[in-house]
Amino acid sequence: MDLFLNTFGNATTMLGDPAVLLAIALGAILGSVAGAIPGMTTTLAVGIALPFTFGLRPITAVAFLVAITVGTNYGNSIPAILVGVPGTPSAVLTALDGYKLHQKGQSGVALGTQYIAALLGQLISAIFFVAMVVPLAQLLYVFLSPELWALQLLGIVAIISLTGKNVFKGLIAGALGLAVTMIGPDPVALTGRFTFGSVDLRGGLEIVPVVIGALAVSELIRSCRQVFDWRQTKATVDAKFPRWNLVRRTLRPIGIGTVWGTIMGAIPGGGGVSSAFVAYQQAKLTSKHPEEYGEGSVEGLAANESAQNASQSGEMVPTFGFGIPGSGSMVLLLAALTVHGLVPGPLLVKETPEMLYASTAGLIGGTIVLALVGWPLAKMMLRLVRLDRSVVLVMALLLSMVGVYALRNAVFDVGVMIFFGLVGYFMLRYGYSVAAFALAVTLGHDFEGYLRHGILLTDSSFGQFITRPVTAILVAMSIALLIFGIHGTVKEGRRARAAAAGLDDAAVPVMAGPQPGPEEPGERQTTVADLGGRVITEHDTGTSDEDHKDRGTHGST
Amino acid sequence: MDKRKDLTVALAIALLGLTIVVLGTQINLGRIRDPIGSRALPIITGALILAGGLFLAGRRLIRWKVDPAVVPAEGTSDEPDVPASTTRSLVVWALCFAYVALLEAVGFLILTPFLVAILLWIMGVRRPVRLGLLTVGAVVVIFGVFDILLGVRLPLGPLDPYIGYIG
Repeated sequence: MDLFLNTFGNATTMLGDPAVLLAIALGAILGSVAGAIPGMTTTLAVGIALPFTFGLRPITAVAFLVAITVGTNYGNSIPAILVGVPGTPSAVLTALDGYKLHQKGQSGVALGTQYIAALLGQLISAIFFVAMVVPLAQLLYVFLSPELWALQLLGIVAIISLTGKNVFKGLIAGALGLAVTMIGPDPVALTGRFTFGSVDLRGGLEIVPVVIGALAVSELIRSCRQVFDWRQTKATVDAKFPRWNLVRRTLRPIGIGTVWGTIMGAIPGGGGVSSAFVAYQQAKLTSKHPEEYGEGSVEGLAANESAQNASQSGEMVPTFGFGIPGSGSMVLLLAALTVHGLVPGPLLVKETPEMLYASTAGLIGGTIVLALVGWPLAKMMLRLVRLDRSVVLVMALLLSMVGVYALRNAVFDVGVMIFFGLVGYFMLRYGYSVAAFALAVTLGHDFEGYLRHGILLTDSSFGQFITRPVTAILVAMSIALLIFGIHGTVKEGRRARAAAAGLDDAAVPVMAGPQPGPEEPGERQTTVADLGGRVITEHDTGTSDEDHKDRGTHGST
Repeated sequence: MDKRKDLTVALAIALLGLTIVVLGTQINLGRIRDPIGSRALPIITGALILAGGLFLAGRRLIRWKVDPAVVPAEGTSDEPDVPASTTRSLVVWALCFAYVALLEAVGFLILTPFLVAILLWIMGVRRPVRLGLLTVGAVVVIFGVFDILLGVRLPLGPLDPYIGYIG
């Protein structure tokens, strides 16, 4: 209880530090701006911002990055409501109900509901986050190498099993990530491996360039496949804040969304999309007006918004509690810690509780900043949808390259990042989970170290190693998750073949037109079929050709 | 997704796995020994990648005649109704790679304008004034923020003796 209260006390004290407060304010606002740009996912935003944190104090860096994640989850819904284009896929359902409300002339109701639900969901889930992390961190005090190895195994298997369509491809991606960490000195004998006589490879590869390459640069290169602008809009906003009786109606779905968002987010690979879908379904099942869902329901909008924002706090539970990042953006957060000499892992909170305080400050401070500036920002962010996508992509690529160079003033690191950008591109294209790859890269070195030190600890007996109670339970859970993943892959394959045979016939409408990339690179993109729906054509919605006009340079190369 | 490309990628992965296994057997064991040793995990990891690649290739080959040429995509799909070009992505990547290879020799201030202008042109920004303004703006802002403000020593190549003192 002491640590729980201390965490909030120290987080509040940190908010009094001008540098931390400034970083949080900047992070929240920049995150909102990035979130409002379609295609700019949380991972991409954190990946681009990461190099700017190298010169900061660790607590300021963590608070800044967490505030960015808070901001992106807030900003992604604004274009979803006003233009029908979700900033990230977790805002897909917002585009359903929010855009319908906007079309009915109730933009203020939609934006107000989104504002309240997003911020309440974020704030309450921050309390859940601390309440869940504190006991986990204390539990881990008794963990030794075998248990730590099993915990990392569980984290990697969870990401492999729960993201991507094909668990076998996920396994390969995880193994590739582990193989990358084997370049350089071995953790016990310190002999060089896979260095090919190169001086640059003798110390192994830096985690940050590999992870930014695989998660962010890959997505940017993939996005360069197509040249188009996001939907043009002539939308005007008459945003009056919703009245109290309407706000009161949203409290129940906000509660549902917050709980489900935190729980689903805490499962590695769960993510914002799954949280939003589950919360939406649950809110609909318990609603007095289920018929309104999908037709401009404030309840649906509130459930979805609170869930996707709460999932952000949820993702931080395994990240700080176990040292197992719950998503691509959390992998980058942990990678940032390594730059500052901190060891990402289950002992992080015990050894450096300041990181827990800083992340809590980032969550709470980011929410407060958005509560103050989020409402006026909403109208301004409408313009971001009109930004030239091509310019955004090129500038993001340049920033990533210069940013990674800044890490050690090493051009070699930029080359590593670009190389893994191409690797990640092919992984994205052919369904190999880049999230699993990046997670394995982040944890891989310790993964081997814990295994080998653990075997030494148990008198060189693998039997003793694996039968330690907690280790056995965690390994059993990993196997169960893997079986679950394989079962899912087989089912998905059958479903896809059935769909290809023309058996898939659904009927929930979803806006057509260019949609953003996946929430986490490697995560399956939410499609119309996932919603059980069919694409509404421009003809159906009455949208003119001009509204969808693409650039004249389509397919120009 | 073209099933032939999927098969090719799977076979390439299997080959990579085999390479890791072979290289793993050649790792120097060193003087400090432990029950697992320096070679075991690289070999196991390589074997896993090899087995995975072979499994995916085999699965594709078994259903080769039944499956259509284009099978359901397992990766991130392109945006619907917008033409996509793999060549464009690969050219962008190759330009970035060439930029990295030349950066130290040519320097940031000379090389970056070329990279930004070419990338923007490839991505459809064709009006000369806009192209010029964006290019100069990007170089000035990034050099200003990183080199002058944050103190990052960006490589300046032949310009280093003249303006290397900045930042």
